[in-house]
Amino acid sequence: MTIQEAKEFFATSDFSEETKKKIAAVFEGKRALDEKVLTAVKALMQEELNKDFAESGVTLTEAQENEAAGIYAKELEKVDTELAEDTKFVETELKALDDVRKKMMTVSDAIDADAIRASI
Amino acid sequence: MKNNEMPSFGLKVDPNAPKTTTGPRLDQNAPAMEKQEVAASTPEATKETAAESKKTFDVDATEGQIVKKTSVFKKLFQTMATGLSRSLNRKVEAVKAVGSKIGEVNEKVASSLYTAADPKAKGIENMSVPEVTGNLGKAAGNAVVEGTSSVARGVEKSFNPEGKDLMEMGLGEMGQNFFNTIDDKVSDLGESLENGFKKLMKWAEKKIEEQNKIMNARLIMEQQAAEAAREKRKENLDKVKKAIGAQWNSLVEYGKNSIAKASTERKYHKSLYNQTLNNWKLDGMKIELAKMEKAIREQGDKTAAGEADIEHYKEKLASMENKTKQMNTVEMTFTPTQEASQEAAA
Repeated sequence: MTIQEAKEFFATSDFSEETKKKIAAVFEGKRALDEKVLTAVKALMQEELNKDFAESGVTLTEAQENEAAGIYAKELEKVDTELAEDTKFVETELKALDDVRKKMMTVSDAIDADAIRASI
Repeated sequence: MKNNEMPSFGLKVDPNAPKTTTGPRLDQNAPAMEKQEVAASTPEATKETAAESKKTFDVDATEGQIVKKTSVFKKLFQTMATGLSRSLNRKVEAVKAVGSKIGEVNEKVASSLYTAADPKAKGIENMSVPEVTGNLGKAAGNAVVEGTSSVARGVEKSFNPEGKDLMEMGLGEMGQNFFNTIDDKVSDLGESLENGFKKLMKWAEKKIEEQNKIMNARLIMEQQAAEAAREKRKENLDKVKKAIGAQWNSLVEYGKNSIAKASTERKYHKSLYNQTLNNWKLDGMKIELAKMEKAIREQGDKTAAGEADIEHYKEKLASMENKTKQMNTVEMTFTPTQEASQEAAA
């Protein structure tokens, strides 16, 4: 999504004018919608939502919060495990390749030495 | 000259040359005294005559002179043989050296030289120098005695090169003439052998040069083959190197993608987490609204104020639902643009 499309999206949104101004300030001077901009915008939106929920007297129970946190933590663990496996795979394969490369260099050096001896 | 053909040594033997004697010619028609001298010239008679030379010297002046001269001739022959042997002894060393050199190139040629020095095939290394000298001397002597008429004639005339009356010549003159002749012949023979060796050496050098050319050509071919093999191996190694490089880059790319994927998934789950919390809060609001409506209906308090509260709460709820949906949209569909990624990478 371009930054212009994002600006148009927020112009017609239900968020308060105050939040819209803050979001517009975040967009100010930016040529592209990068991760930093998105994070800042989402934080402002969530801030208003939290405020609205608080004014409505709606809160989550501790059990609900724990459940959501548990699911989130489990999903993060899966992501980390998968990344660790991938990292290990890449490291193992790179080491094997490096071993082959070293052997190859030894052979290459031997050929060069042989060529030098033959030229003498 | 063809390969492996042994060159001439420079010694030429004429098989048609007349048979000659090596001693002074005696008159077969002479009186008995002279016949006695013929008998004395045989080896056995010569020994006896030599042993009795002193005794016969004083018996008859003429006969004694001849006997004495015969004895001297024998000594001269021995001296000649010794001189020839010594001269040839030096040549044997040359023969051995040249033979050894040639042996590296052509055993056939070498064997012909060795045959003369070692006719019984004892092995020249196992033979004494005098034995080798003797064999070569015999070979050379045979050439002189059997075939070389010029040498034979030279020996025959050696005592009296000017054709003087033998009986009028002194022993000193004869001896001097003989030694001069022998020295000349030995010198000629040595020169002849030397020329032969020179030819042999030249031939051997040419053979060695040819062998060297062949060896050099072979060496160059071997070097070229080794170079080609090295090039091929390097080529194969380059292929492996490229394959390793490609695999390496692929793995690095895979690793980067895994990290990016994990990062995206973390954000996704964070978004889900936030959505879940927001949705649950919305659900809480809906439950609150339902409770509110139920309480008002049960109380039968359908007042304008109560309806207004419910309406306000519904509006609030609708707005919250829209904001939550918009928040979810941002969470799930707002992603960094390609330009932003390139800027971040830069």
